[in-house]
Amino acid sequence: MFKHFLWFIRKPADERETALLSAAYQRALVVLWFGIIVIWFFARVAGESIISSQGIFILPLLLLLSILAGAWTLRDEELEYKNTKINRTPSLAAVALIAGLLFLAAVGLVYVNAGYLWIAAIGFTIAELALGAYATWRWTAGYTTHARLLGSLIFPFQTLGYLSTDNRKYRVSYMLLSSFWFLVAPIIIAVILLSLPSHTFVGYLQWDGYLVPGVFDSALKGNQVPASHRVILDYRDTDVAVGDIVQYNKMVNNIIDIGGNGEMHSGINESFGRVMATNGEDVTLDVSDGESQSVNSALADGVLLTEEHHTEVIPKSDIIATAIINAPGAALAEAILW
Amino acid sequence: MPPNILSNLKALRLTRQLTQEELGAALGVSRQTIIALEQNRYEPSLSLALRCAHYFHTNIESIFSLISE
Repeated sequence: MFKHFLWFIRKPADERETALLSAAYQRALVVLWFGIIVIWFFARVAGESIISSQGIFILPLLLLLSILAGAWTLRDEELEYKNTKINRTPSLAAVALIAGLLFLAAVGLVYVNAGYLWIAAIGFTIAELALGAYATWRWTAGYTTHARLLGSLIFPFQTLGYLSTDNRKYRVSYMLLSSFWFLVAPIIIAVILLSLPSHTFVGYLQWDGYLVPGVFDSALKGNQVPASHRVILDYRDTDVAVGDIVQYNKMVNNIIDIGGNGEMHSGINESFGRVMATNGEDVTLDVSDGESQSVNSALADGVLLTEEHHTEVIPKSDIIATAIINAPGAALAEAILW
Repeated sequence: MPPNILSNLKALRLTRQLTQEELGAALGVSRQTIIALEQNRYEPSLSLALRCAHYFHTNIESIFSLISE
């Protein structure tokens, strides 16, 4: 029975196979309808909640049963198995060209603003999926439409891996390799994008053993920010100096209205500021929020971006990270942690 | 319902020294279909029966016959 388990992806080779596959579809449809009626009846008796709680299993089970019914119909028959020749269009060159253009588009997006990194990475992933789906659709011309849809929309990279070799021994490895590449490619692209010059620059916080990327909008543009100034921020580094950008714990009060009681809760938010002065155990920070209209005037003196400065004095022990920015005029507008 | 057609396709094929694959290719069907026809497990369509007759330069009745006959 299992020798024709994938009967539903076959395109009939001739009139006999057409008749056999028609019989298989007929049997599968009967089983499907019978199953639906049984479940409907069962739901009437046992309550419709069974559909909502178990529905996710019922449909695949019904489909599996109907496929098995079709395979059972064909159990004594021989079908012609040919290696379907892969239609190698679009060409690999075209796929590579499209992938290259997608990459350039992602680079352009991140160059404009590193904050678009995730959008670029997600866009690249979606485009990669679309490209995979298109290539799979073209390369599976020898299969039935529903099999092509299944392969293209749900398993494009696995299907491409499967079809990319005629050697049955290597098919599973190729499928795994193809799937792995699909998962890894966006990460590689993201890493490349992170290392590119940008209007913004990206630092990393070493946080509990993890590197957490942070995007810092700089007044310097593009390659004006040299690579040497994309500093690594050391978490818990409290050795601060004037001009450093620090991340610190800020106690905030929030009024949370639970049950109409209007209770006040205190919490700690992570905030950013630029060190204006250090005095023993205290640090005076410029915590201006960087209004954009003040950018140009602030650039002239190379300090923070707002003319109206807000300062805050905090104990050094509240500082949890420090960025040393020593590029002339490298004023920071804001720091965003992802 | 089991097929009720007898064929002497195998005899005709052997007289022409054709393989099942070659005959299948000539008639536009798979080798498995030729096997099924030779073993009387498949009733050919009128189109296929006519193609067979045309290929062997004979009439349909000399290739296929009803079992009841």
